[in-house]
Amino acid sequence: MKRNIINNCAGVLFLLLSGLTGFRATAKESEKGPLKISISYFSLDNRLPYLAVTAKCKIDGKFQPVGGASIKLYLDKDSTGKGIGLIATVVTGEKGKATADIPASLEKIWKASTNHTFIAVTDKTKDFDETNTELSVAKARITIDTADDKNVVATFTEFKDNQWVAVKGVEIKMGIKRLGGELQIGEEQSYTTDSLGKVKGEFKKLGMPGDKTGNIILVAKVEDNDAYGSLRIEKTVPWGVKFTANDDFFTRALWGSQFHSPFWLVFMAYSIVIGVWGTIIYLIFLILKIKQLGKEEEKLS
Amino acid sequence: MENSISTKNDKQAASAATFANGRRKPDALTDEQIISDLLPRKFGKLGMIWMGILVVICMVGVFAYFRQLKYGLVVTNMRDYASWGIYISNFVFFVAISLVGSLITAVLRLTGVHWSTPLTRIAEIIAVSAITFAAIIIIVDMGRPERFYNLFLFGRLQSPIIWDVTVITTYFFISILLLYIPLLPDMKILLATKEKTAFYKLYRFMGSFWKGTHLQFRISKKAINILCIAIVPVAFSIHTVTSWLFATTYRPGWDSTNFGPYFISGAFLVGSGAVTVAMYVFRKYYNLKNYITYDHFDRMGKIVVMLGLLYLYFNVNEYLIPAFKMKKPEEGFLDSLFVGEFAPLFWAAILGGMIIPIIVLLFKKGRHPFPMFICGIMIVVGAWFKRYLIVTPTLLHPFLPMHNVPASYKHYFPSWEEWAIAMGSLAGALLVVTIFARIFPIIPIQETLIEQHEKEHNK
Amino acid sequence: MDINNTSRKEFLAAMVTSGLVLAGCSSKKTPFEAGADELVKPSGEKVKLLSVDGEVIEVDKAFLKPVPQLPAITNSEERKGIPGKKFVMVIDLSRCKNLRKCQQACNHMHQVHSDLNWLKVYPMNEGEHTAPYWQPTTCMHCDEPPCVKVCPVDATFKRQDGIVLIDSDRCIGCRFCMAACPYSIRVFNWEKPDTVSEELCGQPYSCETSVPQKKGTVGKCDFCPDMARKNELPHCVVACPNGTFFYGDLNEDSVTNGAETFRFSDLIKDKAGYQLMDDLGTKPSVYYLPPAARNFPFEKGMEIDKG
Ligand code: SF4
Ligand code: SF4
Repeated sequence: MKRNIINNCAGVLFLLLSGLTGFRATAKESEKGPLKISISYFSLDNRLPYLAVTAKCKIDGKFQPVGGASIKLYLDKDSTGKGIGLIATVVTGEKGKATADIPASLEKIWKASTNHTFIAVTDKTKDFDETNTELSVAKARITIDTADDKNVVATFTEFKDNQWVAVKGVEIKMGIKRLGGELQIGEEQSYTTDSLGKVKGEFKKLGMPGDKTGNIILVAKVEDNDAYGSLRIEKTVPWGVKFTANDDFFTRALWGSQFHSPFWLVFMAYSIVIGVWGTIIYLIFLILKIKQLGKEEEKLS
Repeated sequence: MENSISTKNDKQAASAATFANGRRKPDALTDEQIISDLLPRKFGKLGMIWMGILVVICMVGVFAYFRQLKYGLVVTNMRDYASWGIYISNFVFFVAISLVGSLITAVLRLTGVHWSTPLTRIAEIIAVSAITFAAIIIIVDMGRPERFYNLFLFGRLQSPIIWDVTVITTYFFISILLLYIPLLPDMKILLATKEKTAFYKLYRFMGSFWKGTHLQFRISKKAINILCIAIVPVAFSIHTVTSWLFATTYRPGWDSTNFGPYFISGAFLVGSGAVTVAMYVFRKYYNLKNYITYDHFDRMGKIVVMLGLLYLYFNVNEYLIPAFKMKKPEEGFLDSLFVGEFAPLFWAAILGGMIIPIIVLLFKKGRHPFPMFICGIMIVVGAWFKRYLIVTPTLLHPFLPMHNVPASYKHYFPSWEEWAIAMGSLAGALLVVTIFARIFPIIPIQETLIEQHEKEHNK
Repeated sequence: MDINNTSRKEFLAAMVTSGLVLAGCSSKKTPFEAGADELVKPSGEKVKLLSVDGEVIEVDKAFLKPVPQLPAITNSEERKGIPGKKFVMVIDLSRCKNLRKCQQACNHMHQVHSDLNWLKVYPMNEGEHTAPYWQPTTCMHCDEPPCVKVCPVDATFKRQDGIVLIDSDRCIGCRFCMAACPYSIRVFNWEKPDTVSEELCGQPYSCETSVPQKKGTVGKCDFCPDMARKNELPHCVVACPNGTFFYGDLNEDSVTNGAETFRFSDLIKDKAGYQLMDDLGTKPSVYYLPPAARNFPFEKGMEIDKG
């Protein structure tokens, strides 16, 4: 914590010095706001829910992540407003983030209701006062369907009165899973569900490289919805182009490794070295011969 | 002994005739006198002072290197742009100078030139000590000298550094052999002297087996011939490969197909300059006036002129052609050399290191020992700075502008540690030569004797 | 609270977590089954968790915290790279206003010596009557890398995923690669990096994270393969508020800056992408989009530029 603050201060000072910010470099001690905790709820493949918490504080008017903050996460409130089930105690990382899964021990509380409140609590530390944040979400799920050729349909439902009912007006993004993000399937950035809780998008990214068999992974997701949190579902479809990585990478080349030098180079180098060192060895042999002759001469005389 | 020299050619006879008309009277010299003239001598007062100075400079260099080991290369003024500095230019300088061993001994011998015999050992010891310090200075330049062994564990054949390591090692061994084998007959003479010097044991160890039999002479002659042939391509490769350290990159000023011959011609020039200086010094302080004559200087002078013109020719190629085109990446680089930051040094090196010596040596009087000595010094010093000008200005003119770095990264002037280490290495090389001359005859005694007998025989 | 007491491993672990849960779900089958992701090896140890529906499911510990470690990668694996990938970057010059957030993030995450920058932003102006623009420059991860060609000891090497890395445990500090790189990308640790704490110094070096930087060896942009393994983006990409950097896998034909994802081939075609100094034959993996229709006037960046 301390180090992080120091780092931040140093960073800020640096920025000040380098004229990055409009602030005057008069402030000796950086002004530190209260600790801010935010919780987000994620559901993956309609199976695994988890929480992500972020800790930050305002330093000189800018939010900076707070690493090393210890946060207690509770599930739902009791009558006194206190959390009743401890999900986990997490410590934020350098980027001020931490995640927690819902442990099996909370099965009862989880099943008891369709709406849940997550509570994040921090104790008082020498840098910050205690804080308390809540997030309420309703259980929901998202499904993805591709029965129709090159059309993707996603359905959003919430769990109400013991059954799954369609929700209208939820913004859903659909894309192809790619490194670090999703490539949208068509022109639209996102789609909004109709009264059946459905969105339909045309798959326009033809000829995308897939895996060995030409499979690609479709993703439908809801991001940071106020009522439902973030949900995400994936589906594999054979709409891509077969891709085989070329395995001729480790060929012999000038930029190759120690064991991949080009043959012509190996041949040239070794023949030169052998030729020259052969000569040197022969010369040493000649010296030894001179030496031997000298010894014989000595014996004779 | 005479019959060990099987052929005599006209040239030799002619040169013998020149000697006779020259300023020395070699005919009057007896064997005993030659031997006693050429035997290594104890240092005089001057010699001691000289040694002392060299040792002190070396110690300062060692201390500077100790600091560098402790704090890292940060003690140098090399930084990301000028990532190579005077260590590397010093290395190139050493490699260049070491080439002279092959020139004087091998090339001249193979072309049947015999007047250079008295100079062979001077050239060879310069070669050996220069190549040794080239190897040392390259280790000094490394950021992680303790990982030197990685070169053997993980050496990549594709890297010019590996080629350089290989050829330098090879050249070192060949040079040692070329120094050692002709030394054998002299060992016998050294061992035969009445007074037992401190080095008696060393002589015994190195050459007690030399009895001077006919067969031994034949084998050693054969070995020397093989060596003379072998050393030429190896010598060419050490400097060509050294030039490739630069020419294999894209940098303006280095990206040249001309670099190999350019480096080699420069190397021959500086090497013969160094030999000229050494000739003068040994002649003067070892009283070798009868062995290193005006004639030698005259001939050396002509060689230096020829090599100087050759190097000048390559310089014109190196600088004029790019300057004619003024490609964008080259522009800043060439400007800095011709009129900018490096212009004084550049023109000083061109004028003082090439043009002026060439002009002086064109005159017969210019080829007398003292002017030759001065010219030799100018050539050597000019060559040292020329190497600096090959390495540094290029690095300070990268393709992308120098940016996002502390201001000190944009210029380069060596720190005192760098100077101390570079000077220390130069002093070290001189020290090796000096000590060698203390222990062994700097002019080959046996060969001088043979030549002497030849001449008498020819009369 | 004091993270000085937390070892770096735990620290990384914490950071890794969120990425891993995501990485864990990149599968064909259910995301939490063993082998769901080629890069994460199951530990065999299971934890019981709740599903959305309230059922208890067992998940392999390797995919979860608090030990959601990617298996330690050996040096020889680091040298081979990730099979089937070919990482590329696209830098959109029209978006850059020299904020240098990328540089700060990069320097911080790689503990780059405070005098050095792996990522540099150049004010470029080619000709007398041409318009200036800001050009962020990372290592180009050349496909014919001149730096790799000249390294005597394999300390810098090219991997099958296109990334050129440095093994600081092997580098002898000859600096030949610095002379060979036409982009002047490489920097040298002339002294022990002031940013690396004593404690991190002792940590083993990893070619993929490039930490800890070591005295007497070279350093350069590593394209953050450690992040890519976790399906995350390099630090510069994430840090840029203008989304100047796009990172991706050429074999997936897509690049992303986190917020926007483009089909790589379309992007290059539409915006006339080019490579820097490709005439040298280095075949860079970094592509530039010309500074047309700029988001910011060039002068905006001058405030920050200190040369
Ligand atoms: S940009 Fe430079 S350091 Fe990077 S791969 Fe190319 S040559 Fe090597
Ligand atoms: S400095 Fe290191 S990485 Fe660069 S060429 Fe030398 S050994 Fe290889």
